[in-house]
Amino acid sequence: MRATRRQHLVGTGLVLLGVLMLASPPAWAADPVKIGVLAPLTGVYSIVGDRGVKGVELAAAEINAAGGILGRPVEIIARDDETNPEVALRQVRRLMLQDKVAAVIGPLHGGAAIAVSNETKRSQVLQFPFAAVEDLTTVNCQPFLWRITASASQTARGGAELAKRLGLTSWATISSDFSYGRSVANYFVEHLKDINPSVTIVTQAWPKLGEEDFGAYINEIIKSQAKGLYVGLFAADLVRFVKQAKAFGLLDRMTVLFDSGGSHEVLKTLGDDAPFGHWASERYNFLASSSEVNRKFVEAFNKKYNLYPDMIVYDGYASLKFFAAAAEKAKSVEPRKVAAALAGLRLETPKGVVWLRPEDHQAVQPTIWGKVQKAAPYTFPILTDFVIVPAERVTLPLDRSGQGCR
Amino acid sequence: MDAWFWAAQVLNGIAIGIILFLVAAGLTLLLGVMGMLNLAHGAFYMVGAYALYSVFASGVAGWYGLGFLAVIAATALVGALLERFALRPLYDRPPGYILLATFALVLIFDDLVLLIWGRAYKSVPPPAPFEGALQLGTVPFPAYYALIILVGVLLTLALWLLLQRTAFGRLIRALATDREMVAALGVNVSRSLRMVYVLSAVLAGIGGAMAAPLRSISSGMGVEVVIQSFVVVVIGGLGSIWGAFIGALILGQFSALGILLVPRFAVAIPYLVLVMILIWRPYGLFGTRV
Repeated sequence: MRATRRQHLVGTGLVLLGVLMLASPPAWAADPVKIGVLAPLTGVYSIVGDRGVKGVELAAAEINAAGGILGRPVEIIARDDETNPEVALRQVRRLMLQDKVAAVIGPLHGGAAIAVSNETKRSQVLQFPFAAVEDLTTVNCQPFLWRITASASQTARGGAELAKRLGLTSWATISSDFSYGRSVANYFVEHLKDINPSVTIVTQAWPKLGEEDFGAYINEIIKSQAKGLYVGLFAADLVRFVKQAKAFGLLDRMTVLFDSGGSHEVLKTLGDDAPFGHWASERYNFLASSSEVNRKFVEAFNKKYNLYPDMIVYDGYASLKFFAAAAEKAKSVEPRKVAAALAGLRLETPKGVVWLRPEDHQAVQPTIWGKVQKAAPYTFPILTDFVIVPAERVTLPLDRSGQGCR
Repeated sequence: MDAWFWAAQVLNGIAIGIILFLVAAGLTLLLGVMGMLNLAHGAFYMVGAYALYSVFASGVAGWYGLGFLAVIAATALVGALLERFALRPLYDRPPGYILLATFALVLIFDDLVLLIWGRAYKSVPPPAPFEGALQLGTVPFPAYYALIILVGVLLTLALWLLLQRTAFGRLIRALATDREMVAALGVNVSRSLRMVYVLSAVLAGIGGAMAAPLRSISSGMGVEVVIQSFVVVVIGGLGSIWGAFIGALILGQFSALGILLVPRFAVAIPYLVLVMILIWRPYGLFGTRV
């Protein structure tokens, strides 16, 4: 008897279904655990945002290959926050209401992260921000927000420790005139004066965000005859500053510390114009640790994306790993229970052993500074000669952190 | 020490002013001759910078000189195409249409640049002989700023000669005064307008390429400079090239010195100057009373 066309179709469909089921790795019995990622996926900062998403994706792939979270697969939903607090707020509501995510990783923009934090606090959804702005773990500390990313104060206080070690006695700072730029310069100056009262701060410059011409500031810094300069400029501002500082010969006259200047994007853009021999920090550096965990992480990321992981890759990766570990410990993905499990949780990440302080929800971790150098086989400038300042020296004392959680 | 320090700052301001002038000159030319407020002007500044980057990235020897030829060719081509296909159809409409169209072009160009060159910001070094700093008395002064000032002055002279001493310049000035009369005399007005547009595009492109070794090259880099150029054009008087020249130098000085004298208000200074000019001489320094 000839089969009808319909029977054929059904037959083919069944075979296809069978093939698909055979091909797909562990057949998940349970609903996926959904994790939202909020990051700039369009515009100038999308190159950074994309990497954050890739870091989270790598962690998800590893977790799923090892059986998921509590036997449930992890599913990543990335949404574009356009580096804009209002858009971030809209997107986080969508993630919570429509996608029903268990946690949100991001945003990167400080203002957006604070706006989203108000929302995750109200709706009781976990949040792991990429943003380093201090307020998230001080005045805006809240039960559902936990920060794996190194904070502004950790990096800048680490800078002050390095400055002391370099033995230079007169310092200048230049920092973009917005909350994050102000806070890194202030933490640097304050901590440096604390640990080395003999130091003098000779001048402090506050160019606007997006300044095109740093010439006047550079002249003034050279005139101040400072021995060291602490720089809190980021992204395109940092690229412009380094080029102009080089043109004025500033880099030959003093030792410069670039807060978060280890950004791969900035170093790649600068190429041969990079500030070789000067110091830069990175919240995570792929060469700074020789641990097995780090080696595997760098290798897996490089294999998957043909890129070396930088700080935001690590932040995204480690955030999801912390969530997964806490959920396993709590035997639940219910935000309250996971939050309780996060408090004090200690985890070996590619950066080293990191733990979450229950009082302010900040990950306690060392600060990485290194010298900018050219070295094979890397095609872009990298950091070497690392100075790793221990966590207890760089993390804000508890009487000045976690105010919002008291 | 101090006198040299201030001298270096003034030269600094002149270099900033010259780049600003190259962008503002085209803007004011379009306003004067065509009555066109071209928001897309920053796109040429950006295209100029990216064109220079492309030549640099190709690794050819003498990239800086070749790059400038590429910049001129690229901005002239883009300018001619834009004028022909995006703006000319709107000449007979109310000016609001052109304003909207040029604003749309700003957004389109910012995205096109991302598509063509990718999202990472780009950087070009100064040409090799101009990499370091010169010694100006006791203070350092970047050799590349000196080059900007030199080239800027030469370009300004060339522009002056073009406008005052050539048939094309006479035509431009005639078009600015009475376009209908020029048409009645048998001049191909639409071709002349296209040439004015191309000239303004090339000037902005050169400005972008000259600024590129000091700044970062990225999508949206033209926005800030166009806002500043509008300030320059208003200070100088709409449509006045010399006004734009003086306006750009004034603004350059205010940004270089303002940062030192009143650092907290440095951002507001250009706009304060603008407001004062608008109150005191609403038609600008070199504008004619309407």
